Amino acid sequence: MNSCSKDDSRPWNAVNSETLVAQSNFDWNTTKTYQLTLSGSLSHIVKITSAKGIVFQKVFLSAGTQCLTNITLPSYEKSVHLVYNNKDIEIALSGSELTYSF
Amino acid sequence: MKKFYNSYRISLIVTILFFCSFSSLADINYSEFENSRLPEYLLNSFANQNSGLLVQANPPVAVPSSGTYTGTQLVTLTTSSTGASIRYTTDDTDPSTTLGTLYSGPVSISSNTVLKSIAYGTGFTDSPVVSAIYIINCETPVLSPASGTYPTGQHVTMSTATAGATLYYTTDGTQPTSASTPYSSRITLNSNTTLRVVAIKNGMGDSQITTENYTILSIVETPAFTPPAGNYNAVQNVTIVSATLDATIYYTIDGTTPNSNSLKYTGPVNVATNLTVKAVAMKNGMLNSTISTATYTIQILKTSNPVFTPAPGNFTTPQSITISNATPGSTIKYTTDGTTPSQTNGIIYTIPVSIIASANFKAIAFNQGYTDSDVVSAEYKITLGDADSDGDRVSDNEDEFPIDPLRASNNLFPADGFGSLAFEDNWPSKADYDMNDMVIDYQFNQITNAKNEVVEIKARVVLRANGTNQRNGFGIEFPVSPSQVNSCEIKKTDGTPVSLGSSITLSSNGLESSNNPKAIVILFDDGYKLFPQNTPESLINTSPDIAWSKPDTLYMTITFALPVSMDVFAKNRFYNPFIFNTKLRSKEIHLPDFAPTSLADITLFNTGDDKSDPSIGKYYKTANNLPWAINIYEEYNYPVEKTSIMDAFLHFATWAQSNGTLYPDWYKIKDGYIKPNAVYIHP
Repeated sequence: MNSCSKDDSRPWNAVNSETLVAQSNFDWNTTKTYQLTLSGSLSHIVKITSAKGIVFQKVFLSAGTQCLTNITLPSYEKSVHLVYNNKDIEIALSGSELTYSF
Repeated sequence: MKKFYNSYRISLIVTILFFCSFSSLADINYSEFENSRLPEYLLNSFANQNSGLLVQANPPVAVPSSGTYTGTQLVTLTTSSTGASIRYTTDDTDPSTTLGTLYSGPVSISSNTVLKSIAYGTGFTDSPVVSAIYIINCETPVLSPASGTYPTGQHVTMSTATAGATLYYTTDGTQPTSASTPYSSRITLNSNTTLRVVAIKNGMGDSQITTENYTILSIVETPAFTPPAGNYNAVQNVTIVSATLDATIYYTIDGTTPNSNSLKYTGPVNVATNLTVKAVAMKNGMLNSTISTATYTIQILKTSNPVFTPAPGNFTTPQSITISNATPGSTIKYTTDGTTPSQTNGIIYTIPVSIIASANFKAIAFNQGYTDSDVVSAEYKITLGDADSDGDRVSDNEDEFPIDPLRASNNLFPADGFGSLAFEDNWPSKADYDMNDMVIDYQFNQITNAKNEVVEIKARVVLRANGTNQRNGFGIEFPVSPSQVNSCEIKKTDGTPVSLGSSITLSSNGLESSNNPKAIVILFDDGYKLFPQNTPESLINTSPDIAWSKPDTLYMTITFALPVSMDVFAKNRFYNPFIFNTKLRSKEIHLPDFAPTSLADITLFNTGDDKSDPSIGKYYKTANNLPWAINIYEEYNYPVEKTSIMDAFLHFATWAQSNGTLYPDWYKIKDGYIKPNAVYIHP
């Protein structure tokens, strides 16, 4: 097939598809999924946003209950913001499980 | 005897000798003489003889003589025998010295007659009875009016100067006889007719036949106006018709009399102001119609302005906006994008418009025959408060569906625009690794309710590059059973459904029909179908030397029979996308470590460069763990044709080798990240 035939004239990068080796558990996706546990005393929508305010997800937090959700974020994100009842809390993305109580 | 007569007329002596040879005049055979008469000089000779000798009177001579005549004839009877009298009859009896009418003057002969006459007198023996036969024809009929071309039907009268004669006529050109129609009173002719008439009377000869040709011209039907003349409140389109087939109508609108040089009617006349229309209809071989006139008085009304309900203002709850106007039959169009609505711009108002956020409406109303209304603006400022209009426990100011109790939030993935899926389609061979054989942009939206359950999944999908000459399709496996899906629709930008080839069978809910335990949605089965028809059938949008081709955007909507827990979709938000060969549905290519569907041919695993090992969850990877597909959170600018992804993106290899630690944003277009001219940039 023309479109997929090999092109062996690759002068630019020392690594090629023959020599590049990835770990067997490498996640080729450019995203990372986190488990987020939220709780609060008031019923409100919680917006999970980037620092720029881009909303990744919304969940409804019922007063007095715990809300468990998963969020998939760009791998490069280092933190997210939780917007809840006019509060904006930044939490770092460390580990794969996040917990916050309003 | 003629010889005798001619030879001896010059000699009196011979004459005397002649007489001496006869004992009396009675012995003379008169037929031997011309006209059965004795020559004048002989008679006179006898008359001049002594009284003792009788000569036969010469028979009367009738002038005019026997013959056929038209009209009464005055017949003069004369005899050359001086002193002789004449008697005559007209009843076919023989006259004598005592019978018959003594001739005293011209005899009037007005019908067929045998005129018998005799001359007699003193000194004469009676002349023989002579007959003159007169055939008197009836006078030729006269028709009034005579032949001609007439604009209207004609009343025709017939007459003859012959008293008592009966007129018989035909109208079909045949010869009239006594068996034809007798004339009694005037006849009416309404069409072209040939009249032939004869006068017949007993005792007379038939008249000559009178023939008259009448051409009666018909009149074209008078044009009629619809609507009729009158006062109107709107512009009128006036139609003009004549009941005469194929008549041509000419009209004026300036009050002048229409003729064949006037405006020719070809379609409704737009009457927007006070106007008098005059029309005439014409047709060859017919008389022009009478002129019809229609006067229109136009007082054009303006379409009433749109009215918004509720009135514009500030609100704290979602609103249902009604737009109406008072002019029956009006169409209302509105906009909310700031543009000015018109007959050609805007959305036709049909049902109340629900708004959950501030909106600026502009509306216009228009109606046939009316001027357009003013453009009316209505600004609604909505600041949703703590109210919960739909009762789902999510207050209106936080509810993206404040009037829909089944929905509360949109959850976009990626959150801000498209993500991209990039495939190499030569699996299980690795090939050139330019990761542009199919580049599919996507953005999913999981719509959740107040319980954070997914009630609907929407997606926008664009096949941005098709850098192959293979035919490939695209599908997504969702982590729900097919029975949980109520419906699935895939539509193109124009709203029409995507057509699939025969290799794909759909279930009634729109999913691919299979035994796969999870729902499979086929968005398209041949990527080329998503490009304009004139697009080259290979290397679409991957070679800078080939013109960019704009792909269609597909819209997917999946509704669930019951809300699905968000946890079901926890593993990832891009589900399990894959491409497949159009001609070989079983050849699926998935993201690394994503299992194929049950429709895939897994015997291809561990062939070519593939080193899948389902026992450990390894799928679609090489021995070096390189994939045939990658998923990028943002819109991916892929390598140009035949350029390896690791050559185009300078940190791709580093990212992979570092197990994702370094350059997690390797795909971004920024300084030091890409090789010049190695990445395809949309022109």
